[in-house]
Amino acid sequence: MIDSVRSEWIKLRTVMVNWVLVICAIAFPTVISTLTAALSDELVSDGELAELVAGTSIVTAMLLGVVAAIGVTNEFTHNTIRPTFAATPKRFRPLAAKAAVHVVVTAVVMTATVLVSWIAAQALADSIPSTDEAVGPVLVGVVVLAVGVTLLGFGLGLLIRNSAATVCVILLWPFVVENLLSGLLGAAGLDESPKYMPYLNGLALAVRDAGSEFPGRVASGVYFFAVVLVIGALGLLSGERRDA
Amino acid sequence: MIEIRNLTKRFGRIVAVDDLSFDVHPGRVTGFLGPNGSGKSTTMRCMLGLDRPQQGTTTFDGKRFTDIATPLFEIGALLDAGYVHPGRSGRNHLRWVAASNGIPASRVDEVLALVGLSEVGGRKVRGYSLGMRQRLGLAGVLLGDPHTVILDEPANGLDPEGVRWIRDVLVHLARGGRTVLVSSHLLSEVSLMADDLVVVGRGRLIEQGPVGSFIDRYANRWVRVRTPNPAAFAEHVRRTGATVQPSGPDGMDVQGVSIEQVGELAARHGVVLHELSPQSATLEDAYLQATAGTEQFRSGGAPPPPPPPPMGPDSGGTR
Repeated sequence: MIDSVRSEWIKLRTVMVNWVLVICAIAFPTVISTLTAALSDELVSDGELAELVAGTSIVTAMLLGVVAAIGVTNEFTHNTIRPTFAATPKRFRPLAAKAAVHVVVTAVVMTATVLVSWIAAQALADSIPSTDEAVGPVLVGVVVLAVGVTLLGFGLGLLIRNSAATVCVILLWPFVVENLLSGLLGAAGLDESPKYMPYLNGLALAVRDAGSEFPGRVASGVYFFAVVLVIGALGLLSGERRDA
Repeated sequence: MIEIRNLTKRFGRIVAVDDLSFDVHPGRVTGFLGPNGSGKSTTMRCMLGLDRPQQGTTTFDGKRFTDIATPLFEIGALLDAGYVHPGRSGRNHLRWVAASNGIPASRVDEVLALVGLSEVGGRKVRGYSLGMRQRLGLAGVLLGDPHTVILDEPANGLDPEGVRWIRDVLVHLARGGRTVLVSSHLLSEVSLMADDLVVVGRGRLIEQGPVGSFIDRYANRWVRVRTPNPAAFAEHVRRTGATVQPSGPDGMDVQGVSIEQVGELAARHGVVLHELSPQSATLEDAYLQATAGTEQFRSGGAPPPPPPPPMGPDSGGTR
């Protein structure tokens, strides 16, 4: 297994587009949080500052999810999945190794990004009292969300096997499909529909107060991860059974 | 030794490989031939577990491919030189392949030198020619110094020097006791390097065995005779029951008797011979005979286009 992990790590770091996406993923929340903290007078609590960092870091989570997705789909686009499976016939091994490598990279990059953004924003913001107990959970929550989105990208990539389609699903699912569906169901009188939307539950990890329609940070996170793990498992099953 | 038994692979209603069984022996180069769409590449993918066959098994020295923990040390396969990420360098491509089986990175530089790509190993694969990609693919095959080598059209895109090089490499590997299976549509190449042939058509086995037996079975052999008086000698030959076809002003092709019999007949009648040589059809002739009717795609039989008209002073071509 360690050989497969080493192999997947080489694959991840030897393609330029991954570096570009990771640099963008780090730069976006760091720059936006820092500038906002430095220039805005409206940040009056550390809770708001944490939400600013977490909110901008959602972009990082999405980009790292895209890195995971194209890490899988490029294997099918360029047919490198064939030498991969020809070198490791037990398919679960390289697939699990790829998921593990992407999850670890996401966790490390996301933690570093959130910490740097938080420290820089706090240093540049006008003196803000440390009063909000949700700061820790919000900052940890966005890191956990990123790990979930990475696993989601991995699973969707294995199921769809096409870069453009997979990236579209990752980006449109939370921002368009679930919001649209919630709106339509709400208009039909189902006001509690958001709590059934997996991605909206995942996003609830990264806010101070998700609202009464969600079951709470931990329960929302568990629901989101359950859906992500089901998609990941279906992806693994597909990778195991379908022709490479 | 590779043993393929009752392999069947269907894509929907299309049967790509149909109950195919054959063996590939160590110490010999086995050519895998068949028309386009005959199932050669699908068979190779099924052998390596990349496509899931509906039926059948493949074993390598008695082991299923999926039971081999580090296949690069046992089976080196190059199914398509295009199975590379274009944005990755050749060296990095080999590094991830090597790492997957615990092969040290130093071996990557060794195989790059072996295939003549040391100087361009750091260049992105998108800048490689098809021939360079073939060499890179072969470097991947050689990473673990395997005892079984499977190559699908390895000479594609190679220049004449490259074609000769890959032929020499494969023959060298086989003479070293390795099992070599190579598919190719370059019949002249196969005839120069293969010891055995496996010929398929429409996913079914047509023939398996030594190249010589295949040619014997599917192609004609005859004796060419050149003599100053062919008409008279042809009469003597016909009386033995052989068939005679004129060949040029002083020659004839004789079928149905051995070369020794023709020589003895000439001596008995005091006939002067300028040539007495055994002739046989080529592998190409035998192959076309064996696979007749199994081609999925074939030309319409139209004659080749006429040559362009000669350039004259009014043609405008020299202005």
